[in-house]
Amino acid sequence: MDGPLVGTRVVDLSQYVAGPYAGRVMAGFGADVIKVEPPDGDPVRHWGPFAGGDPNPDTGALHLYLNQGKRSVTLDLDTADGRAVLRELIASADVLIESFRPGALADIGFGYEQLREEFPSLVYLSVTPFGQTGPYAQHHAWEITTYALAGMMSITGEPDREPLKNGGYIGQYGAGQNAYIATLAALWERGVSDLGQHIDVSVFEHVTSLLEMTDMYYIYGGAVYPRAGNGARAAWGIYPCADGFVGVVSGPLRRWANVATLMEEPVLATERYQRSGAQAELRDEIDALMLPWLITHNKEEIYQKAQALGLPFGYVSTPADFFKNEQLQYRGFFHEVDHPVAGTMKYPSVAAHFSDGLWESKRAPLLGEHTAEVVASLGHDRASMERLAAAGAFGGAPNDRRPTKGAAR
Amino acid sequence: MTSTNGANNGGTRDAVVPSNITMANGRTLPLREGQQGPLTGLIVLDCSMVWAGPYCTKLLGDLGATIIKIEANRQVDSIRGVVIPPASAGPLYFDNDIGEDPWNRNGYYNKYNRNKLGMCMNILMDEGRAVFMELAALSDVVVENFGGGVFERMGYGYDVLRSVNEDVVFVSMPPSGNGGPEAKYVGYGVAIEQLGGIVARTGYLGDDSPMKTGINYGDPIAGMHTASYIMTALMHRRKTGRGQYIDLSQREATINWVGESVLEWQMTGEDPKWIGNRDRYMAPSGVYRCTGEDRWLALAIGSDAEWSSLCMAIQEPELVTKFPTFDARARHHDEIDAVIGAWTATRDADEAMGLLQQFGVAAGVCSDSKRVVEDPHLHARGFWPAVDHASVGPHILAGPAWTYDRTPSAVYAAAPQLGQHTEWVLREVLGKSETEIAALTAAGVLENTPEEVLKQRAGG
Repeated sequence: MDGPLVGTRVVDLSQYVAGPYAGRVMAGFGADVIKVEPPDGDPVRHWGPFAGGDPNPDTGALHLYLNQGKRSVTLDLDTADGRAVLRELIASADVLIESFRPGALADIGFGYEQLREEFPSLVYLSVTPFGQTGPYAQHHAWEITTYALAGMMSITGEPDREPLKNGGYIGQYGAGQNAYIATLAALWERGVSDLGQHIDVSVFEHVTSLLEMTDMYYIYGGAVYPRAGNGARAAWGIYPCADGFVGVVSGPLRRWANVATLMEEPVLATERYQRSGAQAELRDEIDALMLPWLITHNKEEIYQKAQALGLPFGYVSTPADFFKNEQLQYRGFFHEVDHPVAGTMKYPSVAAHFSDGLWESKRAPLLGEHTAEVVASLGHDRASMERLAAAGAFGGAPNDRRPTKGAAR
Repeated sequence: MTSTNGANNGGTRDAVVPSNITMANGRTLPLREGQQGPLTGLIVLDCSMVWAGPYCTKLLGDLGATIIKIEANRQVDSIRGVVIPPASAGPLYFDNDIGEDPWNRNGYYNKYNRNKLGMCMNILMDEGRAVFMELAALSDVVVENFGGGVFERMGYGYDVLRSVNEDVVFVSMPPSGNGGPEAKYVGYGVAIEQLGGIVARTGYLGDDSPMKTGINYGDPIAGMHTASYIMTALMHRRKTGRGQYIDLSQREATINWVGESVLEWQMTGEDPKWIGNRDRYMAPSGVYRCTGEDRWLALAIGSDAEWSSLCMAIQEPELVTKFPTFDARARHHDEIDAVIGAWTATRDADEAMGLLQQFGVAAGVCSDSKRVVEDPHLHARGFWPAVDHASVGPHILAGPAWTYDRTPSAVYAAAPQLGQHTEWVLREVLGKSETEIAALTAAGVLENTPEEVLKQRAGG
């Protein structure tokens, strides 16, 4: 099965998480994604943990996941020859992804305005913390910065403690997901107009757009949405169990009696606890009635038994739990992928079954693995390649890699 | 299936702004005032409710697609709120006033359903079923997010839709996907974010228990994935002429956003940890109290150079060499936090952010809902467009995360009142006559007031 993006070439200059994640999805659906990296690689290659333990630019977890299915070309864009090769690559591309500080690519001749006349059908995707314009455009941000500004931290955590960030890179993954949607929409429109354009995706705006209805509290009602911790009422939040934590979600009130059945605690089904509002008013009492059963049962068992009673429970899943869950195995969500250095591991794939397939899981490239093959495909013969290499267009020779920054981490 | 007509761009780079859409039934549909974007011309039939499905169709509508949302008066979208709420229902209602039609005044619904055409129609009655199938026949995409198998049992499986629309893209998005032992499981976003691996990494450093996130993540993550996959399927359709059945799992979508943790576990055998606002690769990283009530500044230091900048900014130059490396800073994190906290304690959060950013430090105010809605950067970028809602009047809404230079995305219309566009869609999209519409009304298929309210009125 040919993926829907087979025949689409993407030059991916982006680094860290957001832009590379958009490129990962494009590659999974068949695009030829060429990751153009500085000679010592995308900085994310130096973030551990690493397969095998020791720092290695080819085996970091984030890199292996985010750069699945891409080819890697190293170019030193500080050299005129490196920039010349990039220009040739862009000439062959449908999409360019970049995540530099706004204006940085223009400084070396690759701003959108500089490219669009020569490459009118190029879709130029910028994914940055604050977007290309506006008073914060030149501000610096890591995940926590945009998370804070967007209002997500102020609603996460306990009201009498400090605001809390979610673990991981939700802001950046989401910006990448938005970037994928926006790029495909641009390619869809290009099919009619033959014209590309500049898409400006902002991590800050993505996280702000995730605020469920807390912005509407202010827009509609002039109120500030509070931090509520693990929930203001009983049976709607995170509880301990024998082997971890479960999400007790009691669902519609008409199913409350099923909670009593599940937890073998008939008292919970009495009028005192079943009436509307009881879960908020009698939180401590209800918690005390639920806990003895919860802490003597395992999370997967609680989840399965609750669901059998129509209760929308969940549990705090770890990767180990993913691999034990029958449903995820049934759907074949994890794909075994082999990698010459990192070895064979199971990778998350695509979150849907398509009637025509469409997705293929492949491995991440070694740093610079495809430099020679890609540059040759641009029409460079051996002599030309040697001249470029001597001029430092590809950085140092592969054996001459600088020590990774990850070693210090 | 559909094509757009209108002014040719004549070789300029101006957006091709069509004035109408030629639909599969041969009719011409005028675009709504302000409707524009790269997906103009696509028609999406939206049977989804609450947050996940509507999030997906909000994204497609912002990009210019025509979204026809169908609700039933027996089951209005539950994010319209309780149909008969108490008068004190609160700030989600415009001006804190539930008004005469509270189901049209709820900010949660009105945020995610902008740009959509709203129909209220009983699609389980024969007459409603016939109308639905006519709409399905001319739609590019049909989206539903009922529980596993429910929509199919209502008589609207993929095969049924395909019998009238061979190349339709049909999306189903139950919590754990269709098929398999958990196909019929029920799930709210609050459970999906746990099942999807986000919560296992969220919590205060040193706490025994992880922490719920501030929103119900499962829904928007599923919505964004679904929009991604719809676009993918449409590209596939353009190439091959084939439609698609997309069977999404909300849990799997969520796992995709913590993908690296799956590999980390295979590498180390260790479960994820919650480490508060700290970071595995950056130190310091945290939030620091500023002047005012519950005002905080967040920052993270991603390199030794950034550390020097921070020390200069807060006038603690001796700390540059005292903690020169990530390892040193991570070991002495508490001590460093105390120094930064002492500096922020006497400063306004916005001023502190401005000063630190001048030094290149990744600092940001922990905005509350007021500050983010008033944020000057977001306003400068036009992120809070205004719409005029038929029940509550003008208000602003959060825009999308993207800006296009040639085919601008737009928030051009407020969310529909329940059934606001029922007759418009019947007339303009399907070409129904006034007589036919009257017959549907008489049959009880069309009713724009929630059933509960009608009963109360009849009883009262």
